This record gives sequence, C-alpha cells and structure tokens, in this order.
Amino acid sequence: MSQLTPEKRRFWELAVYLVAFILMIVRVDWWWWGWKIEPYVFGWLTLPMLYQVGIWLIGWLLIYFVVKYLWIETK
Amino acid sequence: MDSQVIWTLIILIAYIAIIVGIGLWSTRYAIKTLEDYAMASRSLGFWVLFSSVFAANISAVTLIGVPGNAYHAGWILWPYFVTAWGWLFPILIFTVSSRAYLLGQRFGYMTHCEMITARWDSKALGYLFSVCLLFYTVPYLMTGIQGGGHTLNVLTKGLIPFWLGCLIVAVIVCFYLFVGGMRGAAWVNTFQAALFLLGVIVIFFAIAYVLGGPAAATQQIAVKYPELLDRSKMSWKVFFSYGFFVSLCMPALPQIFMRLLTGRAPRDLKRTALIYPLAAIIVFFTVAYVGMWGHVAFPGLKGGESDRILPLLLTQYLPIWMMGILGAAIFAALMSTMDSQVLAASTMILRDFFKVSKLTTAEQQQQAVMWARLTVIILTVIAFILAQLNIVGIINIVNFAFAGFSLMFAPLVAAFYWRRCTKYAVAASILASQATLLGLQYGILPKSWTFGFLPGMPALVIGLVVLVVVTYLTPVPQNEGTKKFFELFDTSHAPVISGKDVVHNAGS
Repeated sequence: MSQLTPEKRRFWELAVYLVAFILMIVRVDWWWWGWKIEPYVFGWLTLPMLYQVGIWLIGWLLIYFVVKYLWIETK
Repeated sequence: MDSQVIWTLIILIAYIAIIVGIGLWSTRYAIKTLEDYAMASRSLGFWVLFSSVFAANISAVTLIGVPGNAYHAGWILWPYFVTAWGWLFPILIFTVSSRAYLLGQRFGYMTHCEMITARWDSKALGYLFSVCLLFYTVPYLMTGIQGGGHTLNVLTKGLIPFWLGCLIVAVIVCFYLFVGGMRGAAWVNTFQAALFLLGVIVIFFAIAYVLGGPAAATQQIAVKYPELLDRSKMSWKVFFSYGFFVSLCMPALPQIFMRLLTGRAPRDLKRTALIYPLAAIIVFFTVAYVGMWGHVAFPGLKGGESDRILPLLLTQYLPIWMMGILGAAIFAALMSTMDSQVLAASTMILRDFFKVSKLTTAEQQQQAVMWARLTVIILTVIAFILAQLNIVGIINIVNFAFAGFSLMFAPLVAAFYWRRCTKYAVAASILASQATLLGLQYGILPKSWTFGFLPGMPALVIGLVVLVVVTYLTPVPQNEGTKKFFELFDTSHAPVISGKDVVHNAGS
C-alpha cells in the first residue's frame, strides 16, 4: 500500500471520503432512536451506546488508514 | 471563609503561578518577528502541536455545558460531538490543513484571508472571508471571559464578584499572550490539556465510585429516568445536523487553522490527527456520563441550573480540594480556547487588514510584534467590556457560530482542490449561505424551510449549490494565484483527490 500509484491513491482517497460520508449518515441510528433499551453490557452500557463506540472506532481506523497509506510527507 | 473557598483559591493561585511561569519561560526562546510571535516560527513539535490544537477546541462549554446538557438529555451528549467531530476533523486535517501547511511553508501565509486572496488574486474576497470569520470569533471571546467570571464567582461562593473574575481571566490570558505569543500560549496549552484530560478521568472514576459504580448509577437512571437512556430528549435530525457543523467548521476556525500551520513537520500533523480521536472520546465520554448520573444524586434541576451539576457532585461526595482541581480544569479549558482566539483574531487583523506582512526589515518586524501585542490587549479589553454589558444579540451569535463557520468549509476546500472554481462563485456562495443562516436564525425566513434540521443545514446546501452553479456560469480562472497554488500541489506530495491535480510521484 505504501507504494501506491497516484491513480490508486486517488481511488483510495475517494473511498475514504465515501466511507466517511456513510459513517456520518449511519451514526444516526434512527431505528433505535427513542426505544427503551436496557443496559445489559456490564450493567451500564446499552446496544446503541456500543454502536456509537463502534462508529467512533471505524472513524479512527479510517484516520489510521489515511495517515499510514495516503498521507505522503512533503520533503 | 470556608474550607472550600480556601482550597479553591490555593489551587487556582498555584495554577495561575504555573501558567505565568511557563509564559515567562517561553520568552527565552522568542525572536522579535511576527512569524515567531504569531506562529512560533512554525517550530512546534508533536506534543505541543497536538495539545495546543486540542486545548483550543476544548472550552468551558465542554466541562460545564456538556454535563449540564447530559443531565437533561442523557448519554447522547458524547456521541453528539465525538462520533462526528472526533474522527472527521482529523481526516479534514489531511484534506485541508496538509495543503494549507504546504502553502504556509512555501509562501509564509498565516491566515485564511491571505490564502484566499492569493488563490484568486482578489483582496475583496479575502476581506469577505476574514470579516465572516471575525464576526463569529469575537463573540466567543466575550463568552470565554464571562465563563471565567461565573466560574470564579461560584467556586469562591461569591467572594470574587463576576466582574473581578472576568478581569482576572482577561489579565492572565493577556499576560501570557503578551509575553510569549504563540509559543507561550502553546506551552501553556500543553500544561492545560494535560490538566483537564487528567481532571476529567479522575472526576469520572471518583463520581462513579461514590455512586456505587457505573452499573448501579446507570440502573437507577434506567428505572427513574429512562428518557436519558432512550434519547427521546433529542431529535435525531438535530443530532444529524450538528454532527456536520461541529466537524466541517473546524478547518474554518481561525485559531485551529493557524495552529495547524505551526507544526515543525508534516509528521507532527499526522500524529496529531492520529491521537486526536482518543483525547476527544476521553473528555466527552467522561463528562457526559457524570452529568447523566448526576440526575440521580440531584434530581429536579431546571434548565440552566444543571450547568452546576459537576460542582454539586464534587462538593457533595468528594474531598473539598477536588473542587479546586475542577476549578483549575475549567479554567484551563476556557483560557486555552480564549488565548487561541485572541491570538488568531489579532493576527488576522494585522495581516489581513493592515498588511503587516509587507514589513520586512528587522526594525519593522519588531514594530509588527509591538502592534500584535497591542492588538491582543485591545481585543481583550473589548471582550471584557462586552462581557460586562452582556448584550443578548452578541451572545445569540455564539449559538449558531459553528454553523456559520461550517459554511466557509466548501469555499475553503474549493480554494485548495478545485482549479475551475471562480472568485465570483466563492463570494456568491458565502453571501447566499450566510444570508440564509441569518435569515432562518432570526426568523426572517420561515422556519419550515429547515424541515426540522438545524438552520445551518439548508444554508450549507444552498452554499454548495451556488458554488457549483456560479462556477460554471463564470469564466475559468486564469490568474497567477491559481497556477501558483496548483503547481505547488502538483509537485508536492499533497493529497491527490482532484482529477486534474494528480501528483506524478509514482514510487513515493
């Protein structure tokens, strides 16, 4: 991945922005919004809470991908 | 004087002594040029860069407003910020700041206005950009001072009146900015960021412990106040809209934009982007849960009363000196935001409107530094006076400032990525979107146009549409600035998203 051609890097950059856009949409879990869900995990975390943690984690992985493979340091 | 006030004063005095000391220490490394005063000679290493950017982002709102709102709306307050801004802003550091950094290194730019002016060879467009940014920045300064005044007043149980609290905050920030400029502020911010990161972690675990643990506290919420868990107190449309504003506004915030130009190397920007989400989730997750759990301990707080939930929990359940820690953490948060805004506004006024960049000799540079220090004092005095007057109209601007800043995002990205984009399109986009936002916010346009989303959402869409349409209705820009910008991007290892801007650096 570190040897990406400009065309491939362009493709991956577009993919990153697409995933970022999708994440911004699906972070709103409207299918659970307003539902009463018990905090079963460790007695204090609900499924929607973990879902939001998951969104944050995917976002962080996206940054890791950008930093590791797409962001070339200028000399 | 009771022991809480004594402890608060002791810890706050110690805190103030430390930041004054750091400010003074930073002067040992100062060079008398505006480049050094306003940008620390673009020499900040990773930790200082990260801390100064993060601290500029975390304000008193985070430590007072987020737990206060979580008291009423529940845990959703942390994803409200963190599952959008927490990771999208670092990606935008790559998108926008990496190119701005290149331009800053090559041409010495410090502000948005300088880059916009140079990109389209249009002073008018640069001024428009700068005026819009200052319009939203200055009211923030005022609320920063007000936050300090109120906090000192509450923590000392009225011993320090509001006006004196405001004055103390203004004088301290002014002092370390005056002597240390960007370097002094960034070093102080490093200490402040460590303080409030550590502070919120300690408070989270301490409060969770005294309430019987996270499970016990949350189970009581589930039984007595289920609406705090099911998110029925917040509309998903508001959650959706705010995610975009709070993320897209970041590259447009002058204090953030400028600080990201002060890094020593691109590697420092990359590391900052990588660590940012972790710091973001630590701060917001902890204060939001503490605010929500506070509902069990102190039921029945109405409206803005819930902003006192953190001090209430600490005084009720924890050793009295913990109040001092909280006070220092709140002060660290509000001062770090305020110093970055004062310095950014001062640099914008001098560079964008008084064109001090044309001063080149050593003597002229010393004069520029003197002017910068004077502007810092003037801005702080204005903010202090506005804070005393408490003008509602100005306070209201703060409520939609993030949306206002986010409307500058599309023109900014166009400046760095869209060769075809014209100055007419950018001007039309800014005017149309800002007019829409103000019209909706002040009831000139019907509220039904928002479709339940925040008023900035239609403004954002209108700005984007106008940008695209007007670009294709006006001639292709052939100016020197456009060529200069894209030649630099084309020959550097910048992001290569724009089709015609593909960097020919295979093997890199």
